[in-house]
Amino acid sequence: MLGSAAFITAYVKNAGAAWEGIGAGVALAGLSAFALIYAQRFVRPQEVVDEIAAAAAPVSARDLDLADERVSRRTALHRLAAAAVGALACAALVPLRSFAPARRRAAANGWAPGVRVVREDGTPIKAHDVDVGSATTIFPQHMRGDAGAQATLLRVEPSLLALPPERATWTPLGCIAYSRVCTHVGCPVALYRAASQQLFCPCHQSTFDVVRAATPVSGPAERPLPQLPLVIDREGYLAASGGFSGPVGPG
Amino acid sequence: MIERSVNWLAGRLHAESALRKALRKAFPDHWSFMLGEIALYCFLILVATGVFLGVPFDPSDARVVYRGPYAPLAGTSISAAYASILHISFDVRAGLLVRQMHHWAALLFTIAIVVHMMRIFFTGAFRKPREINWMVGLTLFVLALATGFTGYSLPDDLLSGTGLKITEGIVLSIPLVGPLLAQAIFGGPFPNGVFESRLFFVHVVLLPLAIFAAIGAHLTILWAQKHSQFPGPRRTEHNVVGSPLWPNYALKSTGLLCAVAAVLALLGGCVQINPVWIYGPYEAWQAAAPAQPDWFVGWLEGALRIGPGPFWSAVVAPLAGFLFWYAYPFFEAALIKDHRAHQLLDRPRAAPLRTALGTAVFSFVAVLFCAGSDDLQAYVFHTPVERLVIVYRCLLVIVPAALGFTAYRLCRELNERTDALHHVLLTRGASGGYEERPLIR
Repeated sequence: MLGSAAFITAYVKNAGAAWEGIGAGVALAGLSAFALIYAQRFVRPQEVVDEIAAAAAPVSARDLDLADERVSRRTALHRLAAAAVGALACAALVPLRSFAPARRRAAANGWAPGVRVVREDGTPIKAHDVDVGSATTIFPQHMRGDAGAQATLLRVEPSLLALPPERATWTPLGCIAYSRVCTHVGCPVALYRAASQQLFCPCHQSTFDVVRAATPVSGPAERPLPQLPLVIDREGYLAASGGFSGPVGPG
Repeated sequence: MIERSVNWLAGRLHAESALRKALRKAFPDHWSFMLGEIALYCFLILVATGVFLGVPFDPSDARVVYRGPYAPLAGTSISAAYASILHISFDVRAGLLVRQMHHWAALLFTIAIVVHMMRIFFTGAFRKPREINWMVGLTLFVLALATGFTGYSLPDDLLSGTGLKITEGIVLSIPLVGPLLAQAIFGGPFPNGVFESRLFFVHVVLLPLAIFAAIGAHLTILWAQKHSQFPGPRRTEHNVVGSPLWPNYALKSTGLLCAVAAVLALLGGCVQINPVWIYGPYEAWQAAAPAQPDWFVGWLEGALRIGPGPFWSAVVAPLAGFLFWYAYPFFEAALIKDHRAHQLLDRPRAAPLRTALGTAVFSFVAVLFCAGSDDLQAYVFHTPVERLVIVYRCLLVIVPAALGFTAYRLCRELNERTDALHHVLLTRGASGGYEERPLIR
């Protein structure tokens, strides 16, 4: 009762979770102690024995008969009924399709030739403003915050880069961008180990080598992160020169 | 008063004799029998606290500007769901207490189920005629995991949003049907503005109803089959010996209910859990490090970290594991050709192979669970996480094999030692003489 009173007081005075918890806890603990002590002290210990009944006679085939002997071709009827039930079950499953949206948006993300690169706050980025060793979250200009389009912009010494020859023009001034969605199970690859030029996923520790086209070097991811080809546009800002080099994310 | 109301009710239901029998029903006294009860009482508390939380919670992805008392987030654009969690934690009276009680109760619920299942497994309580209830119990465990995870995902904080993104990635990894399945579950690539309300419906309606039904089946079957019991005086394969439901057992169990509630109230009031305001709102391009989920999905997190691709470690392996446990009673019966009904429980040592298998599997899951926080361990012990991954891959083979073997040897040696002892029951007759009878072990 003291505990209940304390709980009500704590609630009325808005004293915070700790006092409310202590009040309620003390009240319940008191009640618990009461029940247990009562059971221990004031109840005669007794032992009762329940017998387990022996198994009854099993259900016979006759008990389970559906139709009487007058009906011939019973199995054919039963099969027909089973087929009808099966068909109805299939029909009932079809509307589950409504849970998935009609069109697949996954394929489309905002990157295309000439689409300008912007930061989380929407500002465009000049290539020589990007510091070597920094990592910036970037989006297509008109799809800020899009989960599929998100990418990480980095800058490394151009001499370190060991990319496939067809990607030689994708990294103006050593600025290089990869999809930020991990190819393992889709977490944002949010950490950058600048000293070893490795992107690091905080969820399951997949590590990607930035200078070698984001090939996975350790952890569970098996595919490299798709690369975003970059160019410097006429006003000196970074822009995409195409879409990602491969499908984004897991799967 | 109690007598009058009981008879009033029984008289109208024609249930006098059934009720009299029910009040005298035997409940065996052994501490391990209260584990399932703890889980049951946690569920009651989860429902009660959940109803309280469901009223102020707003399951919506709509963006709102936060104007509450928590200064670090003032003026930021967050989801209505996350905002209402902050509202419950800071503005609703007793909201934080109930929220934390709910979370602690969910953790205790799953712990109690796991330990209860271990008791059932190691004492052979799943054997005929209780195979069905073993499967119902396993289903309850799966439902509890699902409910726990959906509840953990509702606040739309950074940690839970990342968890959902990972779940989507796991579904996507399923060959052929994965993409369509992910679309159907999430309603488009996550985050998408429609999933929060789906999640809420599943967490507060679908899964609790399923759990409610499964608990109903679990207890009805238990009631009809009667409890199993450990061997002892007067206990046979055809009876149950214990205290009567009323008053002995009912009082003790009420005491346990209040004790569970008291512990949860104290934990909920005094020990912080899941402070979502510190994690911040979920944004698709942000992630927290180091990050761990609630304990009951820790093994899955570990499997994702040290196992092969997500399809194998998070879809095939858990599915195969659960199917094996569903089939285990039949598998064991076929293996040792034992198709009799059992009323008396085994001590774990009586079945060395079963005990060894259980130990190996449990330690396997425990190693995965530890691997689920390898980033934190790497940080604490100043070790590269890559090295820990290799260590855990080795431990995953070594630990279950070593512990399983040790358990097997231990059981065998304990059996040999007790076999060497001569167990007799000495009774002194009326004439003063002693009579010696072998004691049933």
